[in-house]
Amino acid sequence: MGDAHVTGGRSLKSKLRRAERMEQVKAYLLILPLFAFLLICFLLPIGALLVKGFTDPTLSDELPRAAAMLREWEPAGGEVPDEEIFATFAKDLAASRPTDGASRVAKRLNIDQPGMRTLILKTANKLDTVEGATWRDKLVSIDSRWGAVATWSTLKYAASPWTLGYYIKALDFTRDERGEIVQQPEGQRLYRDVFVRTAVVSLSVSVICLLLGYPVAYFLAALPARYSNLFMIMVLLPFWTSILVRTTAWVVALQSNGVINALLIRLGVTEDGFALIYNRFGVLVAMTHILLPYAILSLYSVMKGVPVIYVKAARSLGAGPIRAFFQAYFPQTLPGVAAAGMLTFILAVGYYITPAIVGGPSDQLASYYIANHVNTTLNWGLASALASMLLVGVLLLYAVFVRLTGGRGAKLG
Amino acid sequence: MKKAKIIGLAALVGSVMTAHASELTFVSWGGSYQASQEPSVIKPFAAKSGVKVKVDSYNGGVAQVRSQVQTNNVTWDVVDMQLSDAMRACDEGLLEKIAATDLAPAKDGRSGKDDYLPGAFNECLAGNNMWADVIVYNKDKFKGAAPAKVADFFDLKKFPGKRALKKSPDGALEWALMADGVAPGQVYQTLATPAGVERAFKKLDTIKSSIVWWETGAQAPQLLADGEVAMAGAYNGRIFAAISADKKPFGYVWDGQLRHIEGFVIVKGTKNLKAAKEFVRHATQPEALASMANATSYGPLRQSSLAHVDPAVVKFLPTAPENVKGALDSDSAFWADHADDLNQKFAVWLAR
Repeated sequence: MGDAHVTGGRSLKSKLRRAERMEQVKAYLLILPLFAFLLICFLLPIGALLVKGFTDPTLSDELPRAAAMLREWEPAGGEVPDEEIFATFAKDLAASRPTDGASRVAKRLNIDQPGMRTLILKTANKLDTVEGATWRDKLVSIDSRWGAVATWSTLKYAASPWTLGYYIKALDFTRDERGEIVQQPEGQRLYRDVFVRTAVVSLSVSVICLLLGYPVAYFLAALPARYSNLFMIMVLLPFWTSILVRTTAWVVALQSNGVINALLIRLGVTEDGFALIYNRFGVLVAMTHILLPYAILSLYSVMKGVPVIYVKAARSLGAGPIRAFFQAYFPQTLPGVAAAGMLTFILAVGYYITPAIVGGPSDQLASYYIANHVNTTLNWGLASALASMLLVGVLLLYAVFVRLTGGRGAKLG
Repeated sequence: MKKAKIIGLAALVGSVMTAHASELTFVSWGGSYQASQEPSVIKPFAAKSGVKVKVDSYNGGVAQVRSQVQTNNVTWDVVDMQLSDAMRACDEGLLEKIAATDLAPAKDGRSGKDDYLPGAFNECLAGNNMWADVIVYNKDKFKGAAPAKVADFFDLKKFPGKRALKKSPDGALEWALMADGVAPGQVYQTLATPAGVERAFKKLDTIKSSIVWWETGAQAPQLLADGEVAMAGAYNGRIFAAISADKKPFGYVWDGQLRHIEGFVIVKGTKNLKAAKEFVRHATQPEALASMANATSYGPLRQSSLAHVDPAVVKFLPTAPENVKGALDSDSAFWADHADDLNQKFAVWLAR
């Protein structure tokens, strides 16, 4: 009897467990499309992007044997490679011609060393007709650059299918002919400044957004619902307008013959108008305008939940309005401030089109250079390295931020 | 009855076949450029040869030609291509060879090849016209002495006012060196050295704060017309259009004009090789080139064409005898090698 009860209990338990498991499976099945979507549209492309920044398959695909030998060769000795590498390279290059491999190699190497394009194409064209005792003599008689260590070390550092070269370049370093990683000369450093600039502009924009957004959000939260809805629509209308339209509107307003300058000249404030656009000022104005609604909305959602009673209590206990605000109200809105700051900062870091339209040449953010390498120079490896650094930078900042605030309010997800 | 049917069928098949054989796809740059080719080249050729010419447009580059040749699905026959792209495509073996005998001779009996300006004909490309990056100014801004030299573009004291330049190292760097006293023949040699590049940027530094950078060809005449800038580097065809159609008060500084060659190429493996060669032969006749020049002010590349150009247009051509002094031919081979490097340096300099 007791036994039967236990077995019955067990079977009931396992039945229950099975039913629960079924429910779980069903639940997972329900969100399967979501997972598939995330995987296909989000994780795979980002993964591919991260990998792209480390791969450099051109030489190892087109000149497989020579690339393998060059990987073993050490340029630090200051000697050009031996005859075997010369001969293998010549044979591989000849073999790559029918499929236009030589022109792909030429294009790839020209990125690292200007002039390599012509050198490779010229060499590939003359391989069959050149005369000489050894391949070394033959190549050097085609072009004396084949007798220089620098040429071969350019090849060597492109020979591996895996590379850190894009990251080296994205951090403004380069390899000298002996393969040592050294700083780029002063006139060629670009990306470190770009990242600093991106951080400074994004930080300024998020601070300005907070300073402007806080009073607006406070005003909206304090109003009774039937008035605040009207004002809320005024916040949301620009939010719903296309970024491009809003940015172009700023061009119309700020340009040297634009609305604002015309007004200032009419009022006699200035004679030839101020430079309001194609500089940092224009970028800050336009980006702040675009990101302000994000700040206002995140602040508003927190302020709505702060009971007014605390401020009243503080006032009745003798605090002045300023003290009551800073001691009783402001601390309770901090999670909103944190969330708004983080949100505007992260969005600003990725801005591309707005600085491109209203900024000058020295106001372009990291995304501009990423787009430039994707679309114009077709150097996708470098684009991917820059994009990954931006991504990692933002994730690090986010981690530090969550740690500092104890995760209050700033969790994005 | 039956016989008649068969004959009819044969005639039908025959007509379909001939229709197929006499068809040609010509690809050009679209817009007003291609529109000007319609009456000057395409229609006369179709009328004369009976070949049906289909047109398509592209934005330059060799990517599409390459993919057609590599997938063995060639749908373009003749392409209007820049010399730099044509050289790349030729290197990669994507183009049919054009022989000197494929060209029509000049009236005076010179062969087509000898009639071409230097560099305008090679084994893959038969030159069409020459366009130029040229310095222009708004006449309203300079009532006294007008700028006449490249150096005047860099002289903010004598010729005050903002400058517009293409946001790209090609053009800006060449002009900077010429303004700094480098002879046109030495420009690319100088620019191939680090010291030369530095010299060019140093010269550009002297006017950097006065430069408005443009990115599309239409912006330059617009900036000039609006009075935003007093001088600009621009495409000569755009300025000609602004002067002839819109009566804008623009003047040219032909000194230092940077000239580019444009020509016809035939895609490798075309099924209509014969018609394509006929088309090229027809389109590169001196009269056809001249007729194109009248509409665009792009310089015809054959010397004997000049006689056929409207005298009122001649002075606007980059190839006109009075305009070629101090001209520089853009070196495609140089840019193919140095574009990656100089783009990077230019970006750094811009952001400084």
